[in-house]
Amino acid sequence: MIFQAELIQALADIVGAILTFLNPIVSPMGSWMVAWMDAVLPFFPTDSLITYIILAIIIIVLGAIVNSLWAGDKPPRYIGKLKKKVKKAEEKLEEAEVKLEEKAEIVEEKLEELDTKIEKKAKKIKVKVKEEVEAIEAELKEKEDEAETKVKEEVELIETELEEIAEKVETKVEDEVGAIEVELKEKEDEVETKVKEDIEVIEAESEEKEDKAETNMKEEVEAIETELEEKEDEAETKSEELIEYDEDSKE
Amino acid sequence: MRPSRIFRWIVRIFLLIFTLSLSAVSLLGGFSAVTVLDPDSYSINIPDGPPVANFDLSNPSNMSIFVPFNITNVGVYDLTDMELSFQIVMNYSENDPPINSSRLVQIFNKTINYGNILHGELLKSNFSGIGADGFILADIPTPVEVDFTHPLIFFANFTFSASYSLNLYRFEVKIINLSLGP
Amino acid sequence: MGATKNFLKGLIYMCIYITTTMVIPFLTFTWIKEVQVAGVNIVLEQQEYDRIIFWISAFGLLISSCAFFNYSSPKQSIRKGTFALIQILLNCLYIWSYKFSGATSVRFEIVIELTDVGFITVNVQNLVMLYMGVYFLTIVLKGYDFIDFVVNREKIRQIRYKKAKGDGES
Repeated sequence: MIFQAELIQALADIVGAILTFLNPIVSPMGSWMVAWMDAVLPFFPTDSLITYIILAIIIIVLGAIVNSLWAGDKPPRYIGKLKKKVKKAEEKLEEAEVKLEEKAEIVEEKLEELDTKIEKKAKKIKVKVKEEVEAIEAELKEKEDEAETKVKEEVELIETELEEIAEKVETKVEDEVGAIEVELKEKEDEVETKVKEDIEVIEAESEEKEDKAETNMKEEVEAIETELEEKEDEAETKSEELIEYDEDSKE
Repeated sequence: MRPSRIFRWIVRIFLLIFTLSLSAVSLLGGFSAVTVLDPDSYSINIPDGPPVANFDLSNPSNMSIFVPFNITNVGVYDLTDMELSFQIVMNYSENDPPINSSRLVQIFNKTINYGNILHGELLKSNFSGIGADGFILADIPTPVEVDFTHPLIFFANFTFSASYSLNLYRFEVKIINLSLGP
Repeated sequence: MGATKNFLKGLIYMCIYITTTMVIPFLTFTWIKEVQVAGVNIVLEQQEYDRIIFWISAFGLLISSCAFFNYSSPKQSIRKGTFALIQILLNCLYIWSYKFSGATSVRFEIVIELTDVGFITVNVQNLVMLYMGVYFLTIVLKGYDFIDFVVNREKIRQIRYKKAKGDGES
């Protein structure tokens, strides 16, 4: 009970402190409020309630009408405007497309006309070109013939010149070949003598080497023969041993 | 949440705290007022003992009234600016011939401010008035003017006022025409 | 569906306000018209009682009708803000007119054995100042809301439309 009383007292102190602090802030606002209410209240009728009842009914009916007509679930005006703009743009697009199609048809017709015109012109040009080509060909042929005769004449000239040059060259060549042959012969003789001398030297050397080689060969052969004889003796002894062994093993 | 709504929430919270505090003060004040006014709690005893009065008309300057009282503030808030006011009216028959007309005259009027009674504290004091201190000597009739064959009747008006609940409200209890007898 | 929901909300709140501003105060004042405190009859003066009942009815009707308009309006709409503000102002007048009756004093008569023995006067001027201060701040808040709704109207409508669209799609 005492705790309860203390608790209540503590609560009262806290709340009192809050109010004491806030009182100077809120009180002046309150006095201003009282002032304007004192000024306004006399304008309200005090004789009967009918005025108030009528006012209340008007407000309720007004509320019912206004809030049913503008319930706030329609899209905002700016979205409606946007949609209208989009619609207008779409209509404009359709009109533009129709115009484009018409223009495209006109352009196609014009193109067809142009095509026929071009074909006609092309035919005319073809004929012209053919005639010109033929004329050019005839000219070319004449020029070819002229060129051929010219070329023939020149070729003949060149041939005669060439023959002359060839004869000159032959004589020169014969002269030079003779000189070369003489030189060659002299050189052949020189070479023969040199070669002979060399052959003799080589033969002498080779005979010496042959002799040496023979002697060496003989010595080696003798050595080998002695070895062979020894090995033959060994072989014989071994074979005799083998035979004895075989005989022993047979026994 | 839009930033503009944050200011709104701050003010709302301030208002909530303030309103709750106000309601709490009113509630606690009301609760403790009931406690104080409960006759079984004997918090307010006016008079606390037999009042003593001397209404001798022959010697008005010695007229006196003495009322002991005690008030215990058992509430949670202080009783501030407490005042006790006492008026005594005398009804007497005039001695003027030919008609013995009855006349009412206020003979005593005094207000005493006892300051504050803190919560849980007791104020034990006396309400007194002697002679010119309280008695309206000029209005008191002389014995010659009074017809003593008719009894003098005294009435009192008693007012007890104080502020409570952090001076949020001031109450005044006025007892009028309390008969003090002949 | 939005309109029906708002309508119902408006009706409910109107009933709440009728109860709190008219029915309960009427019953309370009728009950405390004659009450006993400390074994003493304390009676509300008849003139005072009649005046209180008149103001309860008058402003109660206006407040309840404004509550219907307020709560049946779409959320964060300008008309909702307007009527909320009007409701608060009417509330202030309501409290001032009947509870504090301009004189900020309420008087009760003390009756013993059918005789008026005295009266109790309660002067609540300071309390009134604080309550009115609270109402002032509430009015400031509603005014701020109103300005907020006007300034951010398009943003609010955008959010509301998106929500409604989302609910419709779901």
